[in-house]
Parts: sequence; structure tokens; C-alpha cells
Amino acid sequence: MAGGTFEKYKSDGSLAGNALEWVDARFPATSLWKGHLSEYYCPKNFNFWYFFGSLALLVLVIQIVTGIFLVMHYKPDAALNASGVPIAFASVEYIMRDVPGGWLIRYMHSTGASAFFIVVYLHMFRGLLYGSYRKPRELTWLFGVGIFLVLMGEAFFGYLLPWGQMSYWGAQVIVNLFGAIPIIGNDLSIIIRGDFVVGDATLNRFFSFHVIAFPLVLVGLVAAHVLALHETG
Amino acid sequence: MSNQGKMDCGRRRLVVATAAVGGAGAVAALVPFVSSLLPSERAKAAGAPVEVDISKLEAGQMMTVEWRGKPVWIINRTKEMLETLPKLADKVADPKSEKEQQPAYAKNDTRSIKPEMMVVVGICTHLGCSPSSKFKAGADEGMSGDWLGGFLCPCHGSTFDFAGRVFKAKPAPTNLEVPPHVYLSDTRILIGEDKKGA
Repeated sequence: MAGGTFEKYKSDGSLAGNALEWVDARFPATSLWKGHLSEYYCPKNFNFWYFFGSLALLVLVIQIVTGIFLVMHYKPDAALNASGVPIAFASVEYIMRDVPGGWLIRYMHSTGASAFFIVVYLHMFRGLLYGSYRKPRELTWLFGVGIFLVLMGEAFFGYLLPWGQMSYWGAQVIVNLFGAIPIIGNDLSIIIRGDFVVGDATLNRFFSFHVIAFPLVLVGLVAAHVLALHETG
Repeated sequence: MSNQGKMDCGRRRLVVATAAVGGAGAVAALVPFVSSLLPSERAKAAGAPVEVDISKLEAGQMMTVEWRGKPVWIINRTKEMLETLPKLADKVADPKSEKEQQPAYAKNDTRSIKPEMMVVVGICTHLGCSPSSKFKAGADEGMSGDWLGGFLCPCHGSTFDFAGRVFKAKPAPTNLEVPPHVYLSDTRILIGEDKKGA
């Protein structure tokens, strides 16, 4: 069980000890640290399949850090530049060729996206294999389902951003999938695109969803997933 | 809770009323955000109807115009092309155009206002690729021997006849869409609107 039963830190008289005691009296630092990390109980015979949850967390951190650096150079603009290339596509080329280390950061981000799914699938396989969705862990599983859905949306939005042929037609096809829903489909796909065709409006809103809306939801769901896990163990 | 078992009805009513007012406020606050997702005035202007001159379109020819970023085909069908349509009635999925893929005035045997002049959105109803024209009958264009002419979507192999009707057992669920259009004169078509003038 997480939280609660850990005693407040008592200073040993050192400067650092005094500081920690001061903080601990005002914020559950020791309790969080011990409850979720240093003294979180788990079986010592966890096998290979149990690695992928924390690996997914690692990939999430990599995606966020590389993403922050990519946004410093990327421009979500479908207008053509002086050479007739869409500004969004040109900014991706610029990251790949001219930004020092940009190619590595972008490849980490795009390969990281694939790695995210591989790791998450293995993590889900473990859940199925060992019945990790059963009582009392139903909510942990359901939060995980939410994470998976948000992750698919996040990856889809990111796929459009380079504004190349693959991204454009990928978006075209997936948005048309929503258009196939009876009655509301057509209007729904217009709301998703913000235009009658995949265009600048679509690129900009996908950028917004990709860099802020979905990551926020994703991080929130991950926190709920981990808290639910640590509640049941 | 200290007041377990006893409920303060006045307080309960206030809580419910507050929740209702707050909920209505939250929904009202959603309106500007959702409406901002709709196409802007600029996007709507770019999606305005398109006027097309078809005086130079000879029989058997096809032209493509862009409307709302989509290719709209205008095909001046020959007699031979039109004669293929009734023959295919049992091979296409929706021979009488019963699904709402065309305005009421194009819900007929040729799916058009004028029998020879086909106006149709050249976007496969499966996943949005643009089918290629395979006008020659037979195996000349890589189609099967009994092919009478029409369109083939290169993405997943859906086939359509000269009226944009999809063949049976193909991935595309419906016939190609006929956009709203109107004849301004014998040789001018307005695509995207039903009524003359504006």
C-alpha cells in the first residue's frame, strides 16, 4: 500500500537533514518517496514480462524531452515557402540537416513512438498472460486502456506533422474512417479537419493536440494508472 | 459525516440547483470552443462553388476540376458508355442509387441531370483515394476480359461503372458521390450549389 504509514523525517542535525525535515513537515516528500519508490513492496521474483511498464514510462520521458526540443524548430504551417515547399515539411528537413543533432532528436522521437507501441503491447500481453486485469486491479487495467487509446491518437496526430505524402494521405484516410459513421460522419470529419479537405487548419489543430492536449491527458492517465497499481500492489 | 441519516432537504436542493446552473454554464462555455473547430470563414470561402465551362468537352472525354480540395470529374459519356449502364444492373451494389450519395435530381438511371454529362466526386468511398479511369472495355487496360469500362481505385481495387456505381463485393461501401450542381447554361455548370444565381 502506498502512502500514509511512513513517519515524518527527523533531522540528524546536519544542514541537509534540517532542510528535509523542514520540507517533510510541509509536503509528503518522504512518504511519496518511500511509498512509491524506495519501499514500495513487490515480489522479488518479477520476471522479464514485468519490465515493460517501467520501460514504457522511460519511453514516455524520452518522447516528452525529444518532443520539447523538436517544437523549438518545427513550424506547423502548410503555406509554401519561397522554394515552393510547405513550411512544415521544410522545417522538418531543416531539423534533419541543419540543426546540430536535430536528426538524432527527431529519430529518437519517431523511433521512440514505435518503441512506445512495442513496449506497450508487451506490457499488455503480460497483463493478459497473468490476469492483471482481474479483481482488484480492474481500474488499473481500465486506465491502461485509456492510455492506449490516447496513445494511438497522439501517434496519429504526430504522423501528420511532417506534412509529407505519407502523413497527408494517412490523415486523409483515417479522417475518412470517421466520415463512414452513419448520419454524423460527414459533419464529424469536417469538425476534425476544420476544413472540407485536410489543410492548414488540420495541421495546426493536430499540432495543438499532439504537443499539449493529448500529452496532458496521457500524463494524467499514467499517474492514475500508477497510483491504482500502487494501491493494489 | 456528522449528519448521517438526516438529510437537510433545503441544502440538498441548493446543491442540485448549483450543480444544474454550473453544468449549464459549462455546456455554454463549450459552445465557442466547439464552434472554433468548424471551418473558418476563409475555409468556407475557399470551398465556394466552382463554375465550369464544358463547351470544349467532347464525347468520351473527361475533365477534372477542384472543388473543396476534391477532384470533381465531368465526363461527357458516349452512347456506347451509356449503353453499358443497364447491362451492369445486377453487377453493381446499388443499381438504383438508393443510398444518399447524390442529390434527388441525380437519382436516376444515369445518375446525372443530362444523361450524357456525368458530374461526380472522384474520391473512392472506401478510404478516399482517387480512382483511375479505365474507359476501354476488355483486358486492354489490365482489367478482366468482361470489363465494360469505368473506374478502378488503385488502393484497394474497388471498381465503378460509368455512372460511378460501385461493383458488388468491393471494399467501397457506396457509389461515388454526385456533388450538388446546376446548369447555369447549356455549357456552364456550377458545382457545389443547387440553385442558380446568388
